Amino acid sequence: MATKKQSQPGLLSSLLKPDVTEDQDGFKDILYWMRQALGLLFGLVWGMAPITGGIGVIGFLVLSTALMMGYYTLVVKVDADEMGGHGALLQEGLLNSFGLFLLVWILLFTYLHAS
Amino acid sequence: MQYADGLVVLAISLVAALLCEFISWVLIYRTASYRALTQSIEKTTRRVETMKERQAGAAAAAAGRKSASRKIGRFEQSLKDSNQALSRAKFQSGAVVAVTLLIVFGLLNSLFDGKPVAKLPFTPFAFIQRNMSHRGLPGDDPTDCSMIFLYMLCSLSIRPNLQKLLGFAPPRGATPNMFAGLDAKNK
Repeated sequence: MATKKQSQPGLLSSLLKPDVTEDQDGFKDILYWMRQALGLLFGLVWGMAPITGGIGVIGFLVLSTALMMGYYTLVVKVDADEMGGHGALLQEGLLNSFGLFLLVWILLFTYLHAS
Repeated sequence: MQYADGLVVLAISLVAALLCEFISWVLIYRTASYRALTQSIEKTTRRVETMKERQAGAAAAAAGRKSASRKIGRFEQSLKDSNQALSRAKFQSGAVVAVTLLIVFGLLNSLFDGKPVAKLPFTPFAFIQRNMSHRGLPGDDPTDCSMIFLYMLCSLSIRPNLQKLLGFAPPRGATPNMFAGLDAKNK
């Protein structure tokens, strides 16, 4: 009898699987790219809305940090101390993501609302 | 289109980032010595981590723990030496990349000096306005964005992500933990 081929796990299921934390560096890479994706997403939304003022900057920092923390504490249920502490996990890609967010927000705002 | 220059700044930054990574690849990353060094660093780092875990977990005798500490110390010294060798190898390409970025910055400055290239959706702090976002711009509109600020944002976001994507990013140990104090306080 022919056996069914095992399908490869999709991206979403591999992000939700608990053993994502076995490889610390790999997990931190996931956090890094999630930060970049959040920076891009918030930049797009803030630029299209448009959201203006310092509240936009603070909103991004608070929301993206909360989402990251929510992901690794509630979804993946990682012990932050084993991964270097909350600081180490939260700082993954923070500066680059902030730069990306500002860049996208500014350019979108400029070309959709200010030109 | 007004403020079309912002897109030009973005495009030039992207090309400059690709060029810098190409230069780095030609001068460092494709060389056998660099690959050997990174492999050795990875292997030694894993070995040190395993030995530290074993030392922490096992109820070993004091003498055994002392010898394990000496071994860890030797491996850490070897790691330090390898990292220094890696830094020396990167220095040459670093100099070429720095010159390239200087030329790109000079080009952008000559093209867009005194012209706002974008509009900020927020008013930056006075310090940032004076030194970056409104530098060299006429008028008092704090939401006018200079080339310098936009280029800085491009440098902050494009090149590091490109390096990460291509696998050329520096190892994590090189970046200090900005929240180390907070973690230590909470322990």
